[in-house]
Amino acid sequence: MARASSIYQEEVIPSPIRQVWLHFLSYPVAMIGLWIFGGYVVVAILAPLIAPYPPHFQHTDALLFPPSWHPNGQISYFLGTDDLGRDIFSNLLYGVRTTFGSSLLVTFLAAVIGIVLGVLSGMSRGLKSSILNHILDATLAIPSLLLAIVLVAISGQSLTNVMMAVGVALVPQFMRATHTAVHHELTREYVVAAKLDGANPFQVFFNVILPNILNALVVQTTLAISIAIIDIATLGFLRIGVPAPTSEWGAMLADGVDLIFIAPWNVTIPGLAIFGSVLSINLIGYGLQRAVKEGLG
Amino acid sequence: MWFFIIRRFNLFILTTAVLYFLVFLMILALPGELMTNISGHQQPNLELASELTQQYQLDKNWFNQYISFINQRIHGNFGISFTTDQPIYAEILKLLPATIELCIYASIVALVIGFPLGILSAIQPQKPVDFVVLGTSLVGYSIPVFWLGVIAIMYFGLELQWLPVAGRLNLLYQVPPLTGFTLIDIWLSNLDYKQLAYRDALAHLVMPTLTLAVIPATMVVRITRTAMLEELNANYIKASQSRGLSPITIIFRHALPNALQPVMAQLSLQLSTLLTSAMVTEVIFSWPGIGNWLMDAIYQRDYPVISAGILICAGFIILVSVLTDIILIATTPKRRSGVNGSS
Repeated sequence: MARASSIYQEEVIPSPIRQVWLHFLSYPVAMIGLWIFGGYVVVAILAPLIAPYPPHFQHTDALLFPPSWHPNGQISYFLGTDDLGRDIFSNLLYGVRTTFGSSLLVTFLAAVIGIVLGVLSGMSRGLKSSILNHILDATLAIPSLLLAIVLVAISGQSLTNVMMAVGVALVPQFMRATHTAVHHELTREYVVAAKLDGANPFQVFFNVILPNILNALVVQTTLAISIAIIDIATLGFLRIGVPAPTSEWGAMLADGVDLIFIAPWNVTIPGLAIFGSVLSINLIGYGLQRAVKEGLG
Repeated sequence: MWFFIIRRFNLFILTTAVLYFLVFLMILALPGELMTNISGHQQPNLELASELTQQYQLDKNWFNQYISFINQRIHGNFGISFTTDQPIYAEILKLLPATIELCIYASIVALVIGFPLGILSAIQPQKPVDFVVLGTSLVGYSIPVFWLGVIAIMYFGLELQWLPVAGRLNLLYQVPPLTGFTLIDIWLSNLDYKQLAYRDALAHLVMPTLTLAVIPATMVVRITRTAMLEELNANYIKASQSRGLSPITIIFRHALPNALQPVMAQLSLQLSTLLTSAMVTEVIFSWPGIGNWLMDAIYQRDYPVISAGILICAGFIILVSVLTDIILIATTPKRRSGVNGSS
């Protein structure tokens, strides 16, 4: 591929990141995931423009309308309405912002904090590393959702608190992944060689270790996004998540459970939205993992 | 080997101490009075208050408080619940078996489904079977457990009316709770309708177990596949192939036992995911276990129960991971070199 663009006989070897990308492009499944993901991102940004109604506008004359493909459905309420006459489609679009958008944000913040701490604990040795490790083991042993639930219970329900709780629960996982990756690299010969050449710890890390653990970190990040989405939605479902006026998929689903007999679409549609977003991210993660393995390994 | 086992044991004690410290910090951070939050007594009279102060050394500094907090909890004093005024320890003993029962059955189902599929897809990498198995596991992994539970209730419980949607046993059957595990309790009891009771208990188990098993099963598939692939590419497999051993022998006698080690190590790390989904599953199916109890406690801001629940769940996870570690160290000499506290 790279050679075709050059008229000279010289061979251009694509950079590692480009190699991974080229491999990634060749998996149709992963590309589908990427497109769905892109779609969600676009919706998250443009939600107010696409949504036909404000998310909480109650159409009092249109309670519990089924989705439009149903014989009783109406196209003006594309995915139907709930028991308060709120348009599910608009609610869902705004929910992309809360559930999907905030999980991206949370993962980003958790990744930055967790990776920095993980690198610090991975690069250090002896007592310091040992202490960090034990704290880490103890935090990892607390189920992430339970930790989030407790933090929300202590600090009260609000979007910021939910995001913080989910983020705090994610940080140890990032730390663990980074720590293991860094530790693994430290024993490699080329790291020893760099050290013998007189590189200081910063140089060793940024020039030698970081390029080699980047893949592991990217894969961990995709994993963390899917965990964050599920955690936020689960908190919403358990009714301790984002409080009522905000549209959130998990909370929508929980509201739908009460209507499961008469209006099952109130449960299936938000569930499909969560499922679709998580699946797209897992597909991307799978593609990245394979691309890294085949492109670099 | 004993050296390593003792080392692991020390690690266990330290990790538990850190866990207790985190929970202690959480109790300090909770709104309200420390004495109430730590013991559960909401309006202690003077006598009780001075006793509690003495028990938890509330008049001393935080370090003494922390030590006596550990001391009380280790001796089974988890305080009393805000809502029921019952000792929490007794409640835990009553509820824990239900959760463990659900988790064990779900793990068995996950292993029974996951192992063969993982091996199957590792034998034929990049073939249709592999893609189907991997695709299914990716899809299964992406389904939120609460959605799956609700859909299952909607379809199998309400529409087809095949299975009961909540609880562990129909109230018709008066089974005395001896062990807390329904199936064992029915066996121990002198009920006239044991067969029917069994059928009822199993019918109650089907949906929660399967719902809970989906995510662990997909994990088992993927972990088994990775581990098996690694072993199948090893040189000793090529050697045994060239010696003319049958594929069945190679896979089951040579590759599988070696692949089991990393699989076990990885699976013990997934326990906290299992417990988290178990909590959600319990809430959906009104399963009277720790998860359901904890969620109720959270709705009611029952702080002693919440802190006890965290201690129990996380302590259980730490215990299991240390035990699997010790088993792995005892059975695989290869792992012993790597465990030097620092790793």
